[in-house]
Amino acid sequence: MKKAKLSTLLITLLSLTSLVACNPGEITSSSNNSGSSNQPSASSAIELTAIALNKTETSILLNSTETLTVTFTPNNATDKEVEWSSDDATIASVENGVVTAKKIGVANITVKSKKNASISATCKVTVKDNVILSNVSAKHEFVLYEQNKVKDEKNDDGFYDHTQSYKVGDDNAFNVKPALTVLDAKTYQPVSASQWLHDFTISAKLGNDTVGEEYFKVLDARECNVDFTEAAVGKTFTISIAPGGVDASKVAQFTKSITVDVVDGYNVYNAKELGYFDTRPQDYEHDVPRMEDDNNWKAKWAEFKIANNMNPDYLPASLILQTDIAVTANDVPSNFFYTAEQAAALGDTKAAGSLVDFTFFYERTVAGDMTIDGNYFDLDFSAIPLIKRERQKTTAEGAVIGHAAAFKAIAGGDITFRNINMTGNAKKAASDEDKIYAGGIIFSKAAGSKSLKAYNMIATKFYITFFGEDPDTNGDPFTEFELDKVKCFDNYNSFLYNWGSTVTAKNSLFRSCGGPVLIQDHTNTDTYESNNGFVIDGFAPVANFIDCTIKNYVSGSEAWFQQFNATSVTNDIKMLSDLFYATGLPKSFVTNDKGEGKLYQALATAGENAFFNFIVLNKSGRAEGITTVPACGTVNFTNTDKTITFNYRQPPVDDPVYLAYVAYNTASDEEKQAAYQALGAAALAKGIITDPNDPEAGNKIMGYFESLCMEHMMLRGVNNNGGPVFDFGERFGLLAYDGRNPFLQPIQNVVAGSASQFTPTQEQLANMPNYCTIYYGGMALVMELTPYVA
Amino acid sequence: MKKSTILLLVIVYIVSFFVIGLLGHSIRNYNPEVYPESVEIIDPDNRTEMSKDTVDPDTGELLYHYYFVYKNYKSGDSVRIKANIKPDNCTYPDVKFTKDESDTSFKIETHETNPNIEKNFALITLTDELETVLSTPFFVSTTNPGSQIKLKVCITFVSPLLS
Repeated sequence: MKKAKLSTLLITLLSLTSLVACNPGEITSSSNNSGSSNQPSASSAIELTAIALNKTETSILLNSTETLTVTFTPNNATDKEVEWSSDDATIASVENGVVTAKKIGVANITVKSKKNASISATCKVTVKDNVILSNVSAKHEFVLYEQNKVKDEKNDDGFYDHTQSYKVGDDNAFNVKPALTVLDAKTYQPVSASQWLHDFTISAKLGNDTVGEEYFKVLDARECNVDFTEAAVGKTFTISIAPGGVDASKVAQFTKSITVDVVDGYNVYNAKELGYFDTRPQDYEHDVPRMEDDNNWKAKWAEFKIANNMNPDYLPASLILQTDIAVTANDVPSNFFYTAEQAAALGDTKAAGSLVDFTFFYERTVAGDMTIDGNYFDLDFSAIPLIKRERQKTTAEGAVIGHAAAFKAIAGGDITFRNINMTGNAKKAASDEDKIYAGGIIFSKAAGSKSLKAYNMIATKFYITFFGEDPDTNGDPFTEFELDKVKCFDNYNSFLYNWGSTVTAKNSLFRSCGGPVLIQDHTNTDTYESNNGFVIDGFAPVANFIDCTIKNYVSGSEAWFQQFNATSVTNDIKMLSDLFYATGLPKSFVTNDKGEGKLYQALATAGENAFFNFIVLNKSGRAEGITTVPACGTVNFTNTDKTITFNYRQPPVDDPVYLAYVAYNTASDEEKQAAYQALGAAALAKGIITDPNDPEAGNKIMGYFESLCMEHMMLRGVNNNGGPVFDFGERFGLLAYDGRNPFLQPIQNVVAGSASQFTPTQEQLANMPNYCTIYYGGMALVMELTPYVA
Repeated sequence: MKKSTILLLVIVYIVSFFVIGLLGHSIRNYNPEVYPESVEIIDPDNRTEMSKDTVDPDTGELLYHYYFVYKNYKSGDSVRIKANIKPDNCTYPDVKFTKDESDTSFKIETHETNPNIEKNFALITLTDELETVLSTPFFVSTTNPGSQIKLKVCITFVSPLLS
């Protein structure tokens, strides 16, 4: 036993001596090493008894890292080789103690001895958002919808109808993602909403009942794409959207809901998808001579749709805008615009990149109805490059010819635009160079479709807003135009250009145009043969403006209603209960292409508070014009006993209005002189003039009092029966108070005009509930009979 | 209607248009209205840190046209901003401020709701105590007919605890 102990001691001493001699530093390194690279000597091992991490629990922001450190017990344990692991590396991964947060959630990071797996330590890692959800608003577009819906119609940007529901199509997905304000958790700067990585809880209710997949499916709970089924069409749903990942206390605040009406149609999120309006017939080659090599526009649209992952054969029943949309040159086939080569080949009459004239962006040529519902959003064409006109571009007076249109409908059903705020690309001719680019595109053309309807729309800065053409080679009807609650602003050429349609504009506003409110073109009631040999049925366009407001142009000299190229009498342009405002230069209401027939309205100095609720007008194209001078007087009616009393009133003899009337009308020099003298005295008293001998005194007096005449119109005379007499030779009545009435059906052929006077009989009066049409030569005067208000 | 009929109709229409008539009349002396060309949002009191056109660096998505950070918020504080429309002779010189009405965490007062506030100014106020961070996203838009300029604006209030 003693011998054995001595042997053991000797061996131990020899071993230690050997180790020191071999690598003395290795012992020290090994004892202090907490890593896994050292290879301790088995023969000298100090056993590891425990390890610990510097944290047992920690939170790490997503996409961040944190380093965990290990403590060994004993500190000088020989074997410090460890292994790191995560129980869910998709949430938090680890390598050599460095933990990377990859996904929101909880993971356990474990470190254990390689040699002895029972020695380990664990840290619970919670991966948290690296962003802060600092606000949830209703979907941006829905806020805009709500905003636009309630705008006061008195404002230029406000729609007339504030009640239109939010429409959603059933054909494709509908996005309901709210607008999240997501901030970087450290800097508080905004980051993309896509960094909020939680799903949303989305449901839909029909009435009080939450619906299932019969009506509604959630396609993507993160991006909030949902889809209504065909069974949902015609029904109203309330969709509720709640973001995940928020404290329970904030769920209610951050939950948003929208109510929608589901319709049969396609939800449009970008301008390219407007191409679904287009149904050009196959092989339809547009007859644009300069585009021979590139003129199969149907094929071009098909290519374009395929290139943009759109089905070229899909024909939705309606298109529903789901956001503001701006159409650019990149959103339609490229052959709509001149290439540099084409422009060069065609000389300086074209410009590279500019729109080819006679381009119709979206053309519909199939039977059936089509609706574009705007949900009060913008549809903006202002970025479309302007057309450099051909045919030497402008007339001496600055005329610009334009034929390109945003929408075109041919031989189809009802085409309806509603609840859209449309903007064109018309610019104004400030310089000669501008003139050849000015004008822009037409909003919509129609030929042979059943009707072109616009409801609750705003159309600004187009060349023309509505253009009806002559389609009549096969007995097809003219397209009827029906405008209701439409606002037209600031067009270049005219608001309405009519070739034969029946135009009805109700409750609408037309303001500030470079040309007329309405142009009647090519009026010809006889069947005729065109220059190219086609026999075209005659047509007589009719236009009704009912309860509309027509305001003056900013400046300019064209008539408010014009007629061109007419070979026969145009039917009525009926102005019923409309308001006319005019300031600035005198305006003519109607004229023909010879400059004849101007009806100068008399409000040159009356300001915007003066208006007519009149009537009028019609004229013949190449027949006699209507010439008149400012009217004065008052026309009053009663309709209780169906008796028209024009209420010719004998004003006080010193009434300056009456004096003005007498001075201006009476045939007797003595009476006229007496009236002038009385008028002069009244003018002095009112301070209109200060010196009766002023050479301009007469003009000042008449200028002032003639404007007053509008408020106190007087008819020129009475007939033998005491009834009214119209004398169209010089004047006709303009009523000066607002007696707006609902539109009633006209009474046809009340009387055929004879000579220049019309005296209704009692029987005729009985058949005149609210207005009558009086034909006079080539002219028809349509008068609303407004109940007299004392 | 047969396809051939439609095609004939189209061709006839086009040809006839060239032959029958053109829109030849004059446009004279027309001075159009002046529409807004730009809107600038400023913090007239210099109480915030402002950044313009904040975009997601990964996607390029525009987050806000104007983004203001108001630090060390104290209960009851308000931030005032102003919208400047260009050009100066614009026919439509006013703007409108719009927010999600269902979001009651903040309010916007303007000349319309409080005549003491000048036109085109807005006063943004939180309605509750602020625990950490709250953003107030809203729109500023022009009032012209046709397409309006619409700006996305946001003011973020940061509690002193985080500031």
